[in-house]
Amino acid sequence: MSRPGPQLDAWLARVRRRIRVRRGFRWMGAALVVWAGASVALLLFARVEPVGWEETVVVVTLPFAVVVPFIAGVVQKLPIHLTARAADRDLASADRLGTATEFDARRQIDLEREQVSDATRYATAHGPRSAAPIRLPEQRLLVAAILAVVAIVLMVFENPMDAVIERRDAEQALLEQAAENLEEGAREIEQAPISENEKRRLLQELEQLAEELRDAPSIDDALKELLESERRLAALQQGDHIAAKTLMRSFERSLEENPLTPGGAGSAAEQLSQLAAQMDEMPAEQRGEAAERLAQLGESLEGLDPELAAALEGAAGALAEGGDPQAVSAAASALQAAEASIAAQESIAATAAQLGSIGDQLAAASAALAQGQLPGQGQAAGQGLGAGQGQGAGQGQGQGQGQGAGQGQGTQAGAASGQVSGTNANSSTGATGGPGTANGTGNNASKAGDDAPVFDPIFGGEIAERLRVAGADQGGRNTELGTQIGQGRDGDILIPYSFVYPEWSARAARSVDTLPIPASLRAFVRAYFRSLAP
Amino acid sequence: MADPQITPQQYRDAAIAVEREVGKMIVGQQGLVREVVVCLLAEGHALIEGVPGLGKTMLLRTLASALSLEFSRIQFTPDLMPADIVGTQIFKEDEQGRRRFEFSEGPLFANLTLADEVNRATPKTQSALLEAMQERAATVAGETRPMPRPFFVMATQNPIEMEGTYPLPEAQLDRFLLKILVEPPEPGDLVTILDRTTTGYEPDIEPVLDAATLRSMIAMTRQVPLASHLATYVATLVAATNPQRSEAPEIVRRYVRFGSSPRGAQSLVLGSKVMALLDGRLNVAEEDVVAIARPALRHRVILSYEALADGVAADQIVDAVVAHVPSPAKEVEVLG
Repeated sequence: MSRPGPQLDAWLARVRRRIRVRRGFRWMGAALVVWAGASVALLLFARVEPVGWEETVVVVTLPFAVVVPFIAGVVQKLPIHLTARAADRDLASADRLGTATEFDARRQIDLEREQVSDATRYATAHGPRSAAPIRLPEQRLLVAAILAVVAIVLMVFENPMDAVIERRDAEQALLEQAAENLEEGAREIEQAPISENEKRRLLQELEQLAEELRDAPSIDDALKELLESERRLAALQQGDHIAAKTLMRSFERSLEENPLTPGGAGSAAEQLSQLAAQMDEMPAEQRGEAAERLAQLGESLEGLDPELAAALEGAAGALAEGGDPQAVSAAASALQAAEASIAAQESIAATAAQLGSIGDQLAAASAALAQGQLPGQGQAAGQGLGAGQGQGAGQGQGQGQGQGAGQGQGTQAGAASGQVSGTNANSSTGATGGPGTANGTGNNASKAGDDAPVFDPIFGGEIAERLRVAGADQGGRNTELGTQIGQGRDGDILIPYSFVYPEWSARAARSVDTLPIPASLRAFVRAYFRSLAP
Repeated sequence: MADPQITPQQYRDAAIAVEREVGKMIVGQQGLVREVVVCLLAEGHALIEGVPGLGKTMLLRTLASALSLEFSRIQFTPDLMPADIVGTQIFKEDEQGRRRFEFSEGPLFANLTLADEVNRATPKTQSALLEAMQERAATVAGETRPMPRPFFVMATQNPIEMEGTYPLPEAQLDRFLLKILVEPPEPGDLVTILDRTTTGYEPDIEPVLDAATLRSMIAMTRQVPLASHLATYVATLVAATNPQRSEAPEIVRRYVRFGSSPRGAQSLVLGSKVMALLDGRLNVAEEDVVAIARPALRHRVILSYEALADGVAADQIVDAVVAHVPSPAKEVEVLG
């Protein structure tokens, strides 16, 4: 660096300190303008889009906008020749000082030495104060102040997006609650008596769905995820396991009263195994009776589980004709496998029902939120009819009514005041403040005292009462049932409602997604189709 | 004999004395006189342009009177030949009766040459003049003869009455340090002119500057320091007159065919140095560069036909360039 001379050096050092402070103020002014402008922009943006953190950001960043630029302006190095040029500008000294700093005092030629002397005389005739007057950036501060006032006004006046944010937070809370419910359901599935493969598949589905619900930006998106998950579960459901289970339970109840073998006990499969072991010793009359019972069961299961039906009929034939006990043992194994399959299907159905229930709650909550109602907190008991899970005794009445004492789903819709008409899977009614446990009371579809673990809106106390959807005469060709291909038959082909529901539901979801329907009504339509779920 | 040592103050005093002497004859036109003196102290040639009757020739004749220099005036006409200005070999016989060719110097061999109405001579003669201006020497009959120092050519030309004239080519215009425009006098000055020229007023012009002192002053001019940021500023200004350069403003891109050569930058710096000394400073300032920008660059900016059609003058281009190029003073505005 050039050294014009000690006297001018010292003078420029004093000027440089003042210029640094002045630069700090200048940078602070610029930063305040940027801060105020950005604050106004952010606050305005927060009035058209829900942000929520805008006021915090505006307040927190103010000290930084003041302190950091000032310190940076004071601390940052300032070359001596720039100092001299800045002093030239303020003193109107016609580049005297800037020129003088470019010559080394030890190597100056005559005119350069004279120039440095001239510059030094000029500098010392003017104090550092006049060479670098510290002035506030008044224009910038004025602009920043105006913008700051605008920002304050924007902060003081109510932001219409606050309600949106509250609703969004409420939705997120609901979605979090739904995700927790799913995780709880997953823990229950871990205890379920089903195969590891089935268990893993269901757990994976629930955990993935819980994650998706947590990540969903809105209830509408969460409902789409729920619907997708339900479709995947529906694809896993095979045949009419409810009917098969009912038949099996009926058979087992008959075995309790009248065992296949004298003194027989245990499940149907166990009794069949006992029968295989004892059939050689049994009188023909007893064998014939057992054969007839197995044949009846096989005939009933013919449309539901052809393999099991064939095994049972084979066992019946072996019993009637005194044949190979292996056929009976095979029927016992088939029966055991069928029971396991039914258990797995029950778990799938229960999971699907849980998803449907959560979807209903979310849809109802979404509708309530759209009407300006926000969820509260509390417990409430509801009265009503509906589907649930559990054990209990009740009075059967009508088709599709829930069991007596069930584990209900609490409502999640509520007013900010805590008053809202609740809705849940049990169609319970009553005042409720939020998520809670509703004890539903209702009429069991089954006979008095019967165990009715599964609610089935299409399946009454008798098999003959099952609701069927008539299929078209396909002339013996395949009939397409959703994603499944069934064997068509001439005449009245009865297709279980549960088979066609997924296709209806999928079509409805597609329509709802593509048609110009308000979001609240969209949720309502979805809720309607969910209520039709088998 | 060595040239005398002078101080910056003596430099300024001498220049002011010349201006004062010229002012005895030339009324007003301080800017014009200052620019002519700048050419003088930078040892550059001046092209003075103005309509007839504005005192161009009078100015230069008065200047010659104020200087103790060899002065010659050449009235350029279409039949003027190079030998008429440079000189020629003539056949002579000495006292012993020996005959030989001797070089007879033309009027160009003077310290200060007034080339009046330079655009009336043919290109051939103009080239001879301009070669001498550039090389400060003339080659006649295979022998190069240096011009006396200092050597100045002050040329005048008339922007009207173009018929029968030979406009100077751009390459030859570039050899003039400054192109100085003579404006009509202000009404007040015109009254004074009438008073002096229609009465028996005969000013006594004293020679106040000799050749040796002038050479010392010219040497001092070149010693004036130029700060690096101002050198950069000059370079940027000159670059911005070239339409191909990114620094050029839109008006240059649209109306300029060719921008200034490096001689333009040299003219700016030399002229600025003289201006600084005349202002009592020992360093060049930004305002010196700006003050000299028009006369130093106006004849180096070659306008396009579109500019001529739109009536855009070279001075407008120079002004636009000066306004467009960031000022060195603005560079330190970030410091508050």
